[in-house]
Amino acid sequence: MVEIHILKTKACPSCPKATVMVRRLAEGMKGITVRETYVDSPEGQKFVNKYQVRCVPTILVGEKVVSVGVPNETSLRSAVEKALRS
Amino acid sequence: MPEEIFDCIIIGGGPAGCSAGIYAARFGLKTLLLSSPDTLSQAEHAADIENYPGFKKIHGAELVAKMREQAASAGVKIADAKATSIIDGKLKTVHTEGKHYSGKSVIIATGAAHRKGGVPGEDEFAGKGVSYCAPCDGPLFKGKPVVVWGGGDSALSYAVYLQGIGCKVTLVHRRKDFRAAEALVKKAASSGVKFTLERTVAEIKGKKFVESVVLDDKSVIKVSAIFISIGEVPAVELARSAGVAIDAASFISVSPSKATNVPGIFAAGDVTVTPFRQIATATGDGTIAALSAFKYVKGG
Repeated sequence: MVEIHILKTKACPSCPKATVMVRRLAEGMKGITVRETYVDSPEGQKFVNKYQVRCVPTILVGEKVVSVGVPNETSLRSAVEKALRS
Repeated sequence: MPEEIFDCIIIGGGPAGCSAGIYAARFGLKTLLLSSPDTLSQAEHAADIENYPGFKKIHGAELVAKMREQAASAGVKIADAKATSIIDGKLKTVHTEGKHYSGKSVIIATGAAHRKGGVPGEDEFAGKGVSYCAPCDGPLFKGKPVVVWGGGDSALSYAVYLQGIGCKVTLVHRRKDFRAAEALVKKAASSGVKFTLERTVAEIKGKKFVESVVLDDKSVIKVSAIFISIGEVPAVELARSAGVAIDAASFISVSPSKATNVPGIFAAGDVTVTPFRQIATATGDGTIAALSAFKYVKGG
């Protein structure tokens, strides 16, 4: 299984769009789980520090940051496919 | 299948566009609102809004989401599509990437984009500590020193918001006086925001991420982020494609009824020549534009 993890904030207007994109991507592929974390929360702050997040939405595939800011669906898909292959 | 013809096509999904949509639909106009999926209105970037009637305090993104919801409920067809050109004719044709729509009238409410500072380091550190949206990225810098650059309502509300969530804010503004509302300036001062006035940002420096901001007097402020809020640039390319008149400062010239020089094309909100750019004034503009479009379509 590969995890796509989206880090977002409650007031970020780009984050809902990015979340829809991630969910849609996951629905069309096997072996994908989606995790969504609001970095405004204490739990979220741990990820901010761990991955040195400076902008939302930030998307991780596994442990790797693959997208910062509004994501590009094509490059996000290829990052997920690469992670699935490995 | 015959082509679907709209009475009114609104371009822009911010406060002006949504308000126009609500009025146009309620007046019985078959209305389409085109909202670019990769462009956010200035209001959506706003921190806590405390001057829009009906809401004591609300995030900009939440307010605009409510406006869109209300427009959809009123009967506006909303499409996530970026308009690329308007061709004027008996019917106006609005082209998007891959589609086109025909309408009897058009309201341009494309708003304005944030103005960039144009200083070294700004592009290099975009998303790495350079931000134009405090409510979006602010929570990533809790407890850390940050600079807010600007002196208008937006900059002051960013400063108040960031200080409130635990950032240590220095506000850099080129003048001694502020364009912002006095209430906001007082709130910023009382909340602990440090003012560095009659100074401007000359450079943003760092290694992997932003580490410092250099001012025009060579002084250095060590920070983790800089939030830039120094004004806006109107989005008028679409208007130009239809032959709409633009003034010397690049805003759309409109009459008091929000009519442009092109019959049937109206404009509203931040993209127009207006003395004030507030959410409340944008919604008012949208209302006037919609009522004028109604009159135009019905031949009044």
